[in-house]
Amino acid sequence: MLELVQKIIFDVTGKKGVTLDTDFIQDLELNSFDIMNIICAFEEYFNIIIPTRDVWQIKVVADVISYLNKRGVNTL
Amino acid sequence: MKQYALYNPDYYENFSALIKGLEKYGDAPSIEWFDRNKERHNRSYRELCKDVKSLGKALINNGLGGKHVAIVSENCYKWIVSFLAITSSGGVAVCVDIEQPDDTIRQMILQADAEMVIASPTFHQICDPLLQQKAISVLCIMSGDASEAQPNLDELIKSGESINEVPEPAIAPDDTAAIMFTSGTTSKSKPVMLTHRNLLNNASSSLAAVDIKKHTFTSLPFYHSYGLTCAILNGLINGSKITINGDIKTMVRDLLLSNPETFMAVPLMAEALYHVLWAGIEKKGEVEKVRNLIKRKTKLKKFGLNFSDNTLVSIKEEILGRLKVVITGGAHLNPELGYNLSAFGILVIEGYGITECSPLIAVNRNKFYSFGTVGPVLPGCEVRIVNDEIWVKGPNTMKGYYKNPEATAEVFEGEWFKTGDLGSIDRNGFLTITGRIKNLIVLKNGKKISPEKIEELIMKIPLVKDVLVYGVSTGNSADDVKPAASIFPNPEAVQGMTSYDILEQLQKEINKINITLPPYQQVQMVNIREKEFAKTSSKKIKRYAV
Repeated sequence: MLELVQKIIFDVTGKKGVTLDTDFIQDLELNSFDIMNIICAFEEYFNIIIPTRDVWQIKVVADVISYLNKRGVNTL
Repeated sequence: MKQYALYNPDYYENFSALIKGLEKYGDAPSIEWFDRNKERHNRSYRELCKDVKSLGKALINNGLGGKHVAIVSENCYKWIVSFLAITSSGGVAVCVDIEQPDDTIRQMILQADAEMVIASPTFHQICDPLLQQKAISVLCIMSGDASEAQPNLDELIKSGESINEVPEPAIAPDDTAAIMFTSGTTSKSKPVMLTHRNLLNNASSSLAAVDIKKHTFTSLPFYHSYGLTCAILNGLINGSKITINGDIKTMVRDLLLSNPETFMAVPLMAEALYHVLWAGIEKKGEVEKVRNLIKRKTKLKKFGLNFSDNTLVSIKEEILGRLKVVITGGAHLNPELGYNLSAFGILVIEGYGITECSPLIAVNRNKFYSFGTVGPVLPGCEVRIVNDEIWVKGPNTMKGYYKNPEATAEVFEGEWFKTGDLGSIDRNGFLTITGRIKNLIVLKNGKKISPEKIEELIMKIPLVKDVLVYGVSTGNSADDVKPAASIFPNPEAVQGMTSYDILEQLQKEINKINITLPPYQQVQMVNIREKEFAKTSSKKIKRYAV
C-alpha cells in the first residue's frame, strides 16, 4: 500500500521518497489546496469520496493508509 | 499622477440591462464546469439568458419579484442563474457564506430579511427550520426532490418559460442588488448593501484596467464580492467563457482540464499552481535544467537584460497549458511568487478590495505592474490617504450596512468610505497596503504597531502554528499597553515537550526577533493557548473572538 501511495503522491506533487512518517505540511511544504489536490487523486484512483472533514484528520502518510484501510479500500 | 491606458468595456446601469446586453454573445460559451467524473458541461450565453429570464418571470409571477431572496449553495451554474434572475427582476440577492456554522447561515438569512431561500441539496435541511418557523415563505431546492409544497429550481425555471412577458421591473442604478457579508476578521460579519451601479460599474471598471482574456477559471466563492464581481460579472460582461469550480478538491484537476488563459485566485491558490508546475518539472526529470535557466534569467535581469529563451515558457505550456495570467486578491501575495511565475511566462496581477467597495479598489495592469503593490487605483474610483488610512470615493462604495445606520455612519466621512486599511501611494500611482488600522495597537506615546507585521515574523518559528499579537495593559493605566503575543503551538512540533519547555523555547526565539525590531514594537509578553483560534471562512483569525 505504501508504494501505491508513494506513486500517487509523486504523480501529484513530484515529491519522492515519502515514508509513513512524512508530514504533508511540515515535510512536503504543501498548503491546503495542494493537499486537496492529492486527495482528489486518491478519490479518483480508489473511486471513493473522501469528505472534507475527514481530510483535516490526515496529517502524515500513515494516516492516509489507515484511512483507506478503514474505508475498506482494496489495492489488489 | 501617471495615467495608464484603459480598455473599453461595456457598462450597464442595472442587471436587467446586463441580461439584455449579454444576448449579443449568442451561442458563445458562457459558463463551463466539470462533474465528478470529469465530464464537461457548459451553457451558452443564449441558454444562460433564457434561464435567467425564465426564472425572473417565475419569481415575478409568484409574487417574489423585488423581494429579498437568499442563495445558499456551493459554486454552480444555478447559483449564477439565481443571482442574475433575482437582481434582474428587481429583487435583492442575499449571498450567504456557506462556510459558516449552520446557525450563522440561518442568522444571515434572517438578518437580511429574506422571504425566499434557494438552497442546494446540502443546505436545504439547514434552511428547513426557517420554513417551519414561517420565518421564510418559500424554500426552493436547486436540484433533487422538493417537498410537496415547495418548488424545485428546475421546475421554477421551466414554469417561467411558458409565462408571457411580464411587466419590466423599474430598477434604479442605486437600488440594492445584493446583500453580502463582510469576512469578519476584525469584527462580527456585517450585511453590506451593494447596488446595481456598485457591482456592475466595479465589474466593468476592472475590465477597463485588466485584460482578463476570453477564457477564465475560478474557484473563488461567489458569495464573496471578489468572486462575484471579479470572476463572474466581469467575465460575463467581457463575453468570456468562465470555467467554474465549487470544490477545492477538484480545483487543480478542473483547472488543468479546462485549459484557461486566466486564473482568478487567492494567493494560496496561486501557490498551489506553482507547486503543480514544479511537480510537472520533477516528473519530467528537468529540475536541474529549469533551475539553471531561472538562475541565468535572474542574473541577466540584474543587469537589465531580458533573457528571451522560450524554454521555460514551453515547459510551462506542457504542464499548465495556455495559462498566461493569474489574478490574485483577498490577501497579501508574496512578491517572490509573482517573480517566480513570471519566469515561466505567467503574469501575476495582484489587486486590492474590500466588500464595502464592491470590492475592487486598485489592481495592477497587464502591462503596468509592480510586485508587492496592489497597482494603480481603479478608473472612476478615487483614493485618498488620510493619516495612513485608505479612503475611497466612487461608484463602487456601498449604500450602507443593512439596517445599521450607526455602523454606516462610522465608516463614512461625507462621500469617503474609510477602509480601515493602511497604505501608501508611490509616485507612479501604485498603492501598497501596509496594515490594517482596526488591528493597530496604539501605544500611549502615540506610536502604532501593526500586529500582522510582527505575527508574520513569529509565524516563522517552527513551534508556532498560529499567533495573535495584541496590546495588553501594562497595569499603569487602562490605555497604557504593550505588545503581547498569544501563541497556539504546532502540536506535532511540540510533541513530548512540557508547557515550560515550550514557553522557554518560544521566549528564546522571540528574543531573537525582538532584537530586529524597534524597542516599542518588541513583544513583551508571551502566552500559550491550548485551543486553536476561531477563524473566518478565509482562514483569518477572528480577532474580536479572542
